[in-house]
Amino acid sequence: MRQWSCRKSKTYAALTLLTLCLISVPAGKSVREYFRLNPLVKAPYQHRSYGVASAKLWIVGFFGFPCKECATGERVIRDLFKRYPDKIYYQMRYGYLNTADARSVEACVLAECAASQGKFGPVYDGLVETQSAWSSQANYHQIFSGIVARARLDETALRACKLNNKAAQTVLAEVAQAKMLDIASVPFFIVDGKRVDSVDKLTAAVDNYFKGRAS
Amino acid sequence: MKRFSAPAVRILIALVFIVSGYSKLLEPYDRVLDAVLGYQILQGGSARAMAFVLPWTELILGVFLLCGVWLEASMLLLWGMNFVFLMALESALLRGISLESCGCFGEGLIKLKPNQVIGLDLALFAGFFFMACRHANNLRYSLDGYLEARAPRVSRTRNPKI
Repeated sequence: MRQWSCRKSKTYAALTLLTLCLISVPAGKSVREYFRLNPLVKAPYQHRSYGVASAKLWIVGFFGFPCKECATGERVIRDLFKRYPDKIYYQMRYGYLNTADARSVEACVLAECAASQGKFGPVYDGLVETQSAWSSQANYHQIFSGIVARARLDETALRACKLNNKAAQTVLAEVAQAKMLDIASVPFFIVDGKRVDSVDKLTAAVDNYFKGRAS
Repeated sequence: MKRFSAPAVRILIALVFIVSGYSKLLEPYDRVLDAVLGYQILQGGSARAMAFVLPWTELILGVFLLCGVWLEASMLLLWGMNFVFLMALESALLRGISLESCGCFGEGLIKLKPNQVIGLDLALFAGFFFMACRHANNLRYSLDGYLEARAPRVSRTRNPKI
């Protein structure tokens, strides 16, 4: 009787601890996710952002070059801005860089240097629209020059920006940060602090957010 | 001092396994799988199963050891796991596999080089040996000890003649 009671108590204790373990892991993941994603979502990014920082919904988008899906993502974002004007604040960050591909690196640096001149948007659009051309051609510098000319970038400032390496460091730092956040592919979005790993799910995630707020 | 040494060793060992298991569980599964595959011992389904089971086993048995529930069983299982880790690491090093990180604590704050891990595993092994030698003292500050001490009182109140 005594042994039975003791064994039974031990089993209950073990089951309680087992339950605690099972609960602690998802709880820990949520807490970790909150502390990892929140600083990113709460930090306004002046030169690579669209919308007003006071908007209800903050979206962080991770992109890279070349990335066909990023172009689709861009179209989806524009559509969302039309549907929810003044309600979305969108920040763009570098999430992928193929360091072995000079074109990929130069495209990111060009976009970053354009951002420092306040012209990230037109250069990014140009790079996305022409990516199938410049990612496959040897004379990609000509295409980049065309983008620079169309965006009316200050070429002296652009050259200085490319030389001082600061833009490349910013790109690398953001890519490292994306890696730390376990972002394995681009485009990748953080919508209201939650991960959205594909363009297909982005519209649904934003719609759900506003549906939840409306009801 | 002798009274506290065995529980102290038990708690330290348990904490190592809890931190190891929990940090792996917080990481994406693929990273744990990469760490398992890095040893080039297991492949395919067995590696996937190991990547899933290992962190949970470490966490649950670590918590059991910390609280002192099913103490002997959890201690023996963790000792066995410790021995297997040691063998796996030695085997990888002998085969000339360069492990950047052992993956013991995920990719988090604690990153140990293979030599440091061997040191840690040997220390854990010695700790388990110490615990096995001081078996009677292990029950101090443990739920097993508490429940076993409490059991006679329960039966006495139920049947005062005993």
